[in-house]
Amino acid sequence: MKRFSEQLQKKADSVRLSTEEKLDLRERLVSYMEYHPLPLTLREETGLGKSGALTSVRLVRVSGWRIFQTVASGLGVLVLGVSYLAEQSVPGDSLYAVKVQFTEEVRSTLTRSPYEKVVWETERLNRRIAEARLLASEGRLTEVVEAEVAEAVREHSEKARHEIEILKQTDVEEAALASIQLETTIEVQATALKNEAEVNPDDDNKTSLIASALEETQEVAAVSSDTLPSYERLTAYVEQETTRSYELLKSVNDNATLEEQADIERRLEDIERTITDATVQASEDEVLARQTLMEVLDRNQRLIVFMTNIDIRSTVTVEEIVPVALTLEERNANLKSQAEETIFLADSALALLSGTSTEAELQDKLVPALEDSLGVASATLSSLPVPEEHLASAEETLSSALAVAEDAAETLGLPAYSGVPAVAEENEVVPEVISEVTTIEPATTTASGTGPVIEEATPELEEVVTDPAA
Amino acid sequence: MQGISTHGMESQEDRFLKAFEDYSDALFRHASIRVSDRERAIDIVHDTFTKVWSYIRAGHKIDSYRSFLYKVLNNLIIDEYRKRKELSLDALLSVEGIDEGSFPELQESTVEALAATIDGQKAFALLGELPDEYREVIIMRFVDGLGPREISDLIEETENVVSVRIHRGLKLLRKRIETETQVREDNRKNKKQ
Repeated sequence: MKRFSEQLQKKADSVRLSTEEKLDLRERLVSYMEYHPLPLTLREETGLGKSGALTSVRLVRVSGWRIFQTVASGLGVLVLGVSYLAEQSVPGDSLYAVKVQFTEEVRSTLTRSPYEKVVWETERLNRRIAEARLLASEGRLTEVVEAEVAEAVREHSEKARHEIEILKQTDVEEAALASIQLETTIEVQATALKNEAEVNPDDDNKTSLIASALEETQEVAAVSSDTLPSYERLTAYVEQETTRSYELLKSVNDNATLEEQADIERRLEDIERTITDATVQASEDEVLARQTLMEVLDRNQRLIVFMTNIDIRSTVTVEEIVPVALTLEERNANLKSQAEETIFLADSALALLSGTSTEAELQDKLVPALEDSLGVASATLSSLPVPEEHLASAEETLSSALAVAEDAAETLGLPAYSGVPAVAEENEVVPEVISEVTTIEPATTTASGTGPVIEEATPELEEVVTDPAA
Repeated sequence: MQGISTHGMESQEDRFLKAFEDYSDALFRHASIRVSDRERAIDIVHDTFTKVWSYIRAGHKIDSYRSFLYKVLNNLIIDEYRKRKELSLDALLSVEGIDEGSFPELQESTVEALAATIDGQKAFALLGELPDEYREVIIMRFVDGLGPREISDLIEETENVVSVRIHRGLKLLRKRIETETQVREDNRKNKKQ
């Protein structure tokens, strides 16, 4: 009997599940258990916290090397996947901590030079503010979150400043360049937030904590930019950064309006022009050239911040961040039109004053001033084009002359200057246009052959004339 | 697989998975020999465990996993048999008939004596040819090492019936082995001539 049983058993033992089959079977079973978990009542009976989740943990323990490998590679994929998903998260999302405390910190440790660190911390600062904006736009920005964002803003700018300080020990010039990155970013963001608060004053100034955090950091700043990097270094750096701007412009083209694109292009042209100026200056006055280039960098960096933060574009115009730098021709053209405006306003004011019985006091006060303005304006007109070295003073005198004329016109109740050339008389303009109208639409106006009455035609005419233009 | 927990009490899930670790091989072996189909046997073992899990989920307590698992497994195998071999099994049963058994068949000692005369290795190869009624109890007895009482609980027959079946099964096996040996010897003789 024993022999029989042993022999039989020996044979039977050869019938067994392979390791793989057993693992597979176990997995099928575990997933069945996960899809059909025990009801809560049964779980409480048998001890809390020892539910389905633990089962899968134990699976790893028993399943050996192969499973370990699978799990390890799975974890790798999971980490990457989670980090990727986390990039889109905002404060309050479950993945937000992964984004800020894992992905971003990993990137921090990957940046090697202090300069890169400054750039990265600046980028993180931008990200925090962008998140806050997104939350605010969805009405999810609570006070707690806002305080956290403000704190993060402080932290990132402090870190960046700290890196700048370190940089100063080894490379003062690079420190100066790095600080441009940080300070312009802070400034642009602060302007944008301030604008938002002004646009929506009833919005409880949702981002006010962040705005004040930015202001604080701005106050601390202002110290750093006393060193001027060498001219060579600056030109190299300017080259690099403007290239970045052009690349950014290309990538922004998809989501920026045509107007915005034109605005940005204009700013880039301005920057190019200033760079050319700087190269000319360099042969005579290198320090001046270097200052000009620093200013170029500042403007360029603002443009970059403007382009890289879509939400900033919705609250701020380029003009606020980087005002147009006018060319000589443009400034002269401006002078011309301003002079013409002054002459027109002063002329009409003087005519009104002489024709009517205005108070003597008012006349005494206005007439000499207006005559002065008139003189300045015609002098300017005759001296056009004004050479560059006199432009600034010419602009200044003319603008005060224009201000006088405008004041007088307003006091006398004259209509505002509409850009119509001063020589054109109203009587001459209207019939001229009307004749055009009659030729365009003869059916409506020539029935009686007498020609339209001016008073009636005028309002109509405006519509007709403006319509085709639109 | 030991429990991770320092809890005195093992959770249902732990106990269930421990049962899987402990008995899945034996259950598979049993099923595999009974149905002679590896894949099918794995499925039957799987179904056995999911059925038991559902039973636990319904709030039932299981005192002995081993006998309960065998019981469920056995029922599933019988279902499988009914699906597959309904006709032949019935035919076999009707021919054979099951009675209370004669005295020698009911003696455990005679079972042992009978088994001692059989070559276990050859017997294993011929298990598939036995009617399932006999194969079932022989596997339970000699492969799974279950006692007569346990088997009787499992297949819901009296211990007497179990003993008789084992006895007759063994006899059948011996007969088959003898026939086969006879055939081989005849073949050899024929070749020599």
